[in-house]
Amino acid sequence: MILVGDAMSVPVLTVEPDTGLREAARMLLERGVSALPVVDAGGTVVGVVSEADVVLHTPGPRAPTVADVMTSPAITVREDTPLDEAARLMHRYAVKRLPVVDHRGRARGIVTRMDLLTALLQDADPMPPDVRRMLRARRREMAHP
Amino acid sequence: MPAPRSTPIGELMTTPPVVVDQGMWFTELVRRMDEHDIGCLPVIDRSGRVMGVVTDADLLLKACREWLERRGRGLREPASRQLERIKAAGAVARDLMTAPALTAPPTMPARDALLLLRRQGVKHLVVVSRAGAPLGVLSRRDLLVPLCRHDGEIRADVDDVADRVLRGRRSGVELDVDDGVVTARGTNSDDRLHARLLDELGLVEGVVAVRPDPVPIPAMVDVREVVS
Repeated sequence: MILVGDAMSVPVLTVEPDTGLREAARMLLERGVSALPVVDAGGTVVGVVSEADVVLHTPGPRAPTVADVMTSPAITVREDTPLDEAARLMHRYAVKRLPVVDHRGRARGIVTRMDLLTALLQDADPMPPDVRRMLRARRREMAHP
Repeated sequence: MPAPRSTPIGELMTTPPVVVDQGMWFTELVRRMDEHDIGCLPVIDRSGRVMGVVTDADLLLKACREWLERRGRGLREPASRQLERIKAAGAVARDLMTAPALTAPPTMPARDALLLLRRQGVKHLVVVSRAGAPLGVLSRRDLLVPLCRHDGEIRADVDDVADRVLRGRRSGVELDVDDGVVTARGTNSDDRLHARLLDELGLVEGVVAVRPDPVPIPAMVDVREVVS
């Protein structure tokens, strides 16, 4: 049985509720990710800010922060959550990624739809290690040109 | 009054598009998405026209159904058996795709594309030529780009808007742009022309907030004081 811990990626980039909206947009773009977990001063995940939240924001009279647009509370999973449970949550809540938290709710990693799908494939039809490495390197390259 | 210029999606889309044909199978679709780090694959017919799209959500749904079905039956199958089942269920692009695809020409302004995505509740649209051939894919990530414009570029558009809306009444209004926040000094939202200006400034790409800063009202004589 594959667990979230087997498929997730670390380290996880996070933002805080008072991070500016434009700063969050830049981080999403630079990292090539669709959402970022929002953590409080103690490192606890309090919400998620996604591309949609940022792009759909309409200007108001005040400089917007992550807190103004984030989705809260966040749907999260644990490292020992089975992968199919994570898949069900992603489908049910129509999200592309889930923050992985520890027993105190602190961010431990991120697991995405693609992580799930490739883990499923890897289990069933293992890719040669050198091909996997190459694909991973290419993915990193694209995220940080 | 025309809205401020918005970047055409032809300049923002991810290109060239990674396309697949109808017969491509589930695992190959996953590999293709992983390899190119994308979540949407346009499906093309033999003449190269876009028939539909397969997204990572579609693939996940398929995998979910298989997982849930097995769970419901209390089975713990190895992944290889799951894939066999998916294969047996005939999961090729044609079965998994959403059709027709949401498409748009490269000239569509980003602002309109955003509204379209929101209205249709989808995350991608396929940018197509007049003949229906795919030119690229536009996703929300691409729409983040105009939001990250430099203040200098925003400033130029802000000045254009102010010149157009205020015409002769430009003096007395001072506009400042700082990290996407426009401060409009000397404007009063009770003034109809100023109100229109503030609305239009909010439409300029990259602007995240518009702060009116009214003209300070000169000290008024308190009538009661005078009377008593």
